[in-house]
Amino acid sequence: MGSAVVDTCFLINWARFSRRDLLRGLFDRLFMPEPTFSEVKSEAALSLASEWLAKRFLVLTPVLPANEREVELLLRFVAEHPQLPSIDPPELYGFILAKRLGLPFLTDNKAPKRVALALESYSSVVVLDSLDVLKLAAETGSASLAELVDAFTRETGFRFSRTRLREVGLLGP
Amino acid sequence: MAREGGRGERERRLEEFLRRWEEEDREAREIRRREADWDFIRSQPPRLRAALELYVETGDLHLAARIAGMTVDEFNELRLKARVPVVL
Repeated sequence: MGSAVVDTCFLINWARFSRRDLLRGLFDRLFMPEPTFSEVKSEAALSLASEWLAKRFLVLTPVLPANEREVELLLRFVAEHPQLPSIDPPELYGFILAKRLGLPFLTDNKAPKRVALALESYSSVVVLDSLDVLKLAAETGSASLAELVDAFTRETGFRFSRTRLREVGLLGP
Repeated sequence: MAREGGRGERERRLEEFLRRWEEEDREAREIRRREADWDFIRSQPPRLRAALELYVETGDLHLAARIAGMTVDEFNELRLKARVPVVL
């Protein structure tokens, strides 16, 4: 078990999921940059964040001035490629932190995953979205992937594309 | 020459990714359009309606939240009320 960096969207989505404690079985600590945390406003997400902060499962990290150059580079890359969803500096701080610490980055924004595929200098960053994390949880034997995906989609308003479901073996070729 | 070849290979790879992502985005947009509660969306004040419509078309939570004048978390609550799924 290791640590991971988490962004706002991921925390918000998992705050609504009844099996959110699966994350504690997969990771021993989650890091979140402070500017990212300031975006958390809903009662469900704040309540979960407070619980995890109290247990030191969630740890807030400061932003360093050196991050700004990387943020600018990444924003330029995203701006040049309309196929990439927009990504705000608070989430970029998480992505940059994950690269620096060599940790997985948990996010449901498609942009970081696409940037990691497209930009060689970020190819070392392992970007995991909720489906990837559910798959990891299923591999630990806590429940079948189909059960977890069913519960997650019902409780969080998510849908997974046929392509993604095929990738994780829930749909035939 | 080797550097030129490497760059060409990277550009080809990127173009392949861009094509694949366009296809993924098209599928995601169809799912959001199909599942959205259009009566709810049309009943919203113009700013929120525009933000929800933008989210249905793009799936871009950050941009939609900015249009709505909300944080990402607040816009996510509105998205749930409008039954627009996040599609991965």
